[in-house]
Amino acid sequence: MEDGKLSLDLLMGLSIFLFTFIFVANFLPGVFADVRNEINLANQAYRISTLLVEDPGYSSGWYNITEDRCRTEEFRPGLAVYDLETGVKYNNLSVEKIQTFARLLNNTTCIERVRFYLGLNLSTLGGQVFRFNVSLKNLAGDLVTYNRSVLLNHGDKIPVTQVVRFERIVYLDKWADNCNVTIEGQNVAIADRCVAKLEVSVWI
Amino acid sequence: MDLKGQTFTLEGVAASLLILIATYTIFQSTVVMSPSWSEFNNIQLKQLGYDILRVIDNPEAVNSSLRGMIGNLSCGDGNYYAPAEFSQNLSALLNALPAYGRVELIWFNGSSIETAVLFNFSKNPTPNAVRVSRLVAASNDNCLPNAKIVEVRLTLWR
Amino acid sequence: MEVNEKGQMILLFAAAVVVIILSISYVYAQNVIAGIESSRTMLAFPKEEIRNLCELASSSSTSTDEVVRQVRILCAKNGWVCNYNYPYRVEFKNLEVEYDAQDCRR
Repeated sequence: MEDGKLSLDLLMGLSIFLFTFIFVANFLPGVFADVRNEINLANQAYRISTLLVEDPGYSSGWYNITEDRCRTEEFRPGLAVYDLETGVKYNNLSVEKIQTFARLLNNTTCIERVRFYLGLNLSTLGGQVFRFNVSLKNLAGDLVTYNRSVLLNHGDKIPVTQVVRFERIVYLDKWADNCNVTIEGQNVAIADRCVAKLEVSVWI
Repeated sequence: MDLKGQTFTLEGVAASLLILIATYTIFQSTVVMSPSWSEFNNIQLKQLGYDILRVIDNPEAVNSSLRGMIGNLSCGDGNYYAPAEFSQNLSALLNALPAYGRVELIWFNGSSIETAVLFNFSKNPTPNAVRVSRLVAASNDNCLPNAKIVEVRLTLWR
Repeated sequence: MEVNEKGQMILLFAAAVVVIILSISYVYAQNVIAGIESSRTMLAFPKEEIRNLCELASSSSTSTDEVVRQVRILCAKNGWVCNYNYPYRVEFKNLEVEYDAQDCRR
């Protein structure tokens, strides 16, 4: 007659095995590329910063757009100055374009259009939606102000979770209030230009 | 104590070991390793380097631009001194990143290629430093003889 | 002697799990390799060098024979083959990229 008792031996062996199995099952998905969004974040941050700093935007008068037209008009933001003779002036940002960009990011509908045209909203293609924040700081780390108002510190609110940031050194086409740097007590403009740091942060 | 009947425990332990060793072996191979995070830091530093060289290459600035620096270079005893304004500006820029920098000038003197290090930016880089260069059309008959164009090479590290 | 063959199912489970891990990792490895390769191209394409040459090619004063010759020599020291003509004609070749443009602004 067999008693239907589970031996302690079996329980021990089975529990050790199950313990390991559950540990590995939890650990595995975290390693594969599909789930690790951080890999994609770095690419997006680099891409957005390059798009803003090295591209004048489409169309050539995109910075004249107003908040009520942003839903219907197609445009791509780009902050670089475009000179009719020499072409794009890389790393030279136009204050006017920055101001338009900041205005668009302040508006709740327009920021979604900007997100879409920057290629950060891939939901229609079955992909993810990224959040982003762009800010312009001077070399001391303070936000650049123009006519006493902050020029660019707009986008989604930066969270405490994993955020990837890419920085670029740029110079503006107009003199802002605080682009000078203090060297040995004197206010100096680096290379006679209004040099600033553009920070692009991207997260999920 | 009865030492018989421990087969299941041994089996369980062996099974766990098998799974763990297999997982460990697989993840030691480069195939499933995550793309190196350090590569992204290199990209960031390299792009900042290019940006710095582009921003300080102002054809209109006199002493603080690359052109001005090359034109007003002073040399002696094998050392090359950039104008003080340029050194201060570049140091301020590097401090703001923050990063350390080394600046070298490379030019062709008619028969061979010569290299010179700027006196104030002559620290030795770490192994993970990045190097960026920019060709600047400037000349200095005194210190860089026969050079019509100079390659400014900036090495950056953190 | 009797061989006790009971309780081999646990080891069997373990073997099955290992096989599943191996197969999944083989399939998903392609994703990771693609990620590595695309991030390497950031470092590989000589965007700034080509733009530098384009800016030199945009002005006739920096496109004289002597300057172009020195540029070619300095490029060669870095392992590149470069050449440019006024206006806006740029050629650049390094180990990974070959670039030839009649108008480098486009």
